[in-house]
Amino acid sequence: MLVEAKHLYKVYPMGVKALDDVDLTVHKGEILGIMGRSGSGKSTLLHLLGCLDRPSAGSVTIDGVNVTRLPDSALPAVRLGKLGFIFQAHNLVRSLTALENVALPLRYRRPRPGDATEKARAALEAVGLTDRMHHLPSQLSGGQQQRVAIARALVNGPALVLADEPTGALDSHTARELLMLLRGLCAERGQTFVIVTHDPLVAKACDRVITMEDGRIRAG
Amino acid sequence: MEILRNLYRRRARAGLTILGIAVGILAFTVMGGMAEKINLIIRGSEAYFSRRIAVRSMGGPLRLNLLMGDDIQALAGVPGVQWVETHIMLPMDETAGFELAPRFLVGVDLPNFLRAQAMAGAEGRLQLHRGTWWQPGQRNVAVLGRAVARKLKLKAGDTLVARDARFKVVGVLEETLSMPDGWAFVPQEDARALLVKDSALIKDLDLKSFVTNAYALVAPGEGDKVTDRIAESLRRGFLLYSPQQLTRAAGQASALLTTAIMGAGAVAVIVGALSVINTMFIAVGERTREIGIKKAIGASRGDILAEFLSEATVMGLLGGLLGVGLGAAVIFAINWFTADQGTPVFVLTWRLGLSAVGFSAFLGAAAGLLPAWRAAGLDPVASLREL
Repeated sequence: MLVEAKHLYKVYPMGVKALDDVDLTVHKGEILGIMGRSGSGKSTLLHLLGCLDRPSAGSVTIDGVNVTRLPDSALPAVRLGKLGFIFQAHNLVRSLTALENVALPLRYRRPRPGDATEKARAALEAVGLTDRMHHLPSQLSGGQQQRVAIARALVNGPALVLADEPTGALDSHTARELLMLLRGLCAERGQTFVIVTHDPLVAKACDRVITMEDGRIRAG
Repeated sequence: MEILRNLYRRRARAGLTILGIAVGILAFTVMGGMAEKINLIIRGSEAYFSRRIAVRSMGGPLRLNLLMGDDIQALAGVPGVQWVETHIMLPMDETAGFELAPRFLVGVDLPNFLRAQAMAGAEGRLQLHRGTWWQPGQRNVAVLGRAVARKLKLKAGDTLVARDARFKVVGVLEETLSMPDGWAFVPQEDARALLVKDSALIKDLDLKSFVTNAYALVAPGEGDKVTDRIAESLRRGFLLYSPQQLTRAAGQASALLTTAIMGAGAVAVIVGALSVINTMFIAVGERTREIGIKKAIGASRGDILAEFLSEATVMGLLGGLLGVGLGAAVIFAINWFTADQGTPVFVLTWRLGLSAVGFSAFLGAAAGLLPAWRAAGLDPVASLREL
């Protein structure tokens, strides 16, 4: 068991309940899909798992660390060491090349690893983008940009990769290719993914899918 | 690299901001160049006068403001006075208007003068740039201060014409950036003859051994004490300037001038820095999502803070370099156009150039602090919602 969330609540000011007593377990090496309509609380859940936000109540344990107990100042280190992120689109820093984008998380490590460029190069190779290393994001297609984002999510060897609608901005052909890549990485390295989506194509590629409705998990 | 690419990405805005700082630094540099020049003059004069008590007559026979032979003897007899150097000073050209280095004919008695030179410290000594001093007994010869030589385009071997008299130039002095640059040293008898020729009164009185200025040389630090003694020993009607008095007055004047001039320049730079604040706030607004992504992948507050601070600092630095470059060009141009004045109007020193660039980078960083702080404090979830 890699991630365990217990009795998670998230209540926004004005009393909006985004999460209402959510229990969730993610096993090592699985691809878990979270589906649901917009406003169902799936993105909020992803943000809590990603240590980007704090629950109003409940706890999240990632790789044996209860992150809800950590102070704010310790969370960047958790994100850096244990987590990788892939967002829907505009994932990349526009002023950095593909290689520099992938090396970015390594740049935030202290001490900074000496072989950052080598690692970034290897990560880009794993997603099949060696020939586009020195291109800026604006010179890459949407699919290529998402591949760079995947390489960046993987470069630090995270325990868990969180993806928020990773295929949302792609056509179905490119989306399929990207999913095959994710599946391959999962099979090859035992990489764990949690993917928020409402694309049935993505759901089909997951090992397990849960559906959320009104801040609760409806089916698991 | 990322910083430069970020600046390049919004090059119009960044360029204008950098130009704004550069204009401020330009003003700072040029004004600083003026302050440096003034400080050099003051420091040069300070060195020259560090062991000299200047004595001027405010009365004398028939209020001619002359020092007579017995005055000089009385001066030399005061305990603590090591030597008395005498000058006869008269304006080289009485019709000249304002000049940066007012030109004077300075009549010196060569043995008297050279002895005083030998006693002066290395900083207070006048060095020859070209040629030699004249031989004792030679008449109608001159050694020129650098500004005089430049302005009149004279070199050793040429003839200086002043007050209808002709002097053969035998030497030119090194630049001191202070008063002696505007002096032409001539034999004291020649200067005395010129003064007598132009003053019917002196001629009628048949005065012989008079001078217009005297300097009492004293041991370092003795100035105030010996000045008091001279005041007691000489008859009334003399103005005395002790070296310490001069140093204090010069120090105050220099500090005041430097503050006023640099302050005006600094205001110009601060206006430039305000545009850095504006530009950086816009940059933070534009890059909100990017900040969210960076935080999501593990950037700490400090990482984001450092990123935006360095960007602002680089803008300050580029503006500073550009400004000092432009300032140097302006200073060079002004000095070139005023070269016939004989002495540079502005002095660009390493100290000034480096401090202008450093000041600019520091102000850039200071201006970036608030926007960078805002960027570092952004909530990652809210930032990620931005597109």
